[in-house]
Amino acid sequence: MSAKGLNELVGRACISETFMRGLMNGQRAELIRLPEFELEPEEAQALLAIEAETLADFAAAVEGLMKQRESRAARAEGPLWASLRRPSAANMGVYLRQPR
Amino acid sequence: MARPSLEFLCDCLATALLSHYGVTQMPVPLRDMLLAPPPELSGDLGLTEVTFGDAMWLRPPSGLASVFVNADMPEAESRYAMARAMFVGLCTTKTGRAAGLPSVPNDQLKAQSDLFARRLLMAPELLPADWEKLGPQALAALCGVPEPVAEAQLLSVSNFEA
Repeated sequence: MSAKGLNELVGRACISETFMRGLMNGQRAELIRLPEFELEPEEAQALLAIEAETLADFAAAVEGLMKQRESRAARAEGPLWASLRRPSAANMGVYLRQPR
Repeated sequence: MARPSLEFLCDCLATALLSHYGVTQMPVPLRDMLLAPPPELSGDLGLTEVTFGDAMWLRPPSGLASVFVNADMPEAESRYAMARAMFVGLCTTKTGRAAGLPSVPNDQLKAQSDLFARRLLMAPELLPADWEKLGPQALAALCGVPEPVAEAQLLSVSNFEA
């Protein structure tokens, strides 16, 4: 998953009203396919499926998607500990996997 | 309304800003960012040098907001203070409010702006792979931040690994 691409997509909406309006008002399919975001087809599909009335709703949904994907990846890899999100010097976090 | 975490929004803002300015190496050119803000934020961000205080974001009666920074401050302290003030400005923008950035002022603003400033000025994607092995002085010099900020960052990583 392109965490950087998803972060950049939401971040751009935070600094450009034009981009934010496009993302929320009918141009999402076009915008998420911009090459700089480097999103995979399934990521694009997931973004298109988000129902959001506000940018905050959209951003929260993207954050949820990223956490779900990381959680699935952690389960697949099988370590006891996994980072919550892309390692960040500003914010390191861990969670303990529940035993099956 | 759902609300994303501040950590996530700081990740997003820093990633978008670094990409917008094509930043690929430390130190992050914060002064240049404020002098030439993203086009749609030109009325919300700017840089004005003054000779008092440290750095604060203000919107004067003219309507053109700016980070006012004390030109006499040491550069590292100045950069960190400017980044924190920039966060306040971003929180007030139409897009920032729409994204769920906190209302300002608020009781947590210092911690919130610290989080943003560290994420932007010590962007993990720009740090060398073994940055945790650097001393506080070297990390501070690399990122152009005050040494206590670098020290706190290293401490947070060592606590994480402990």
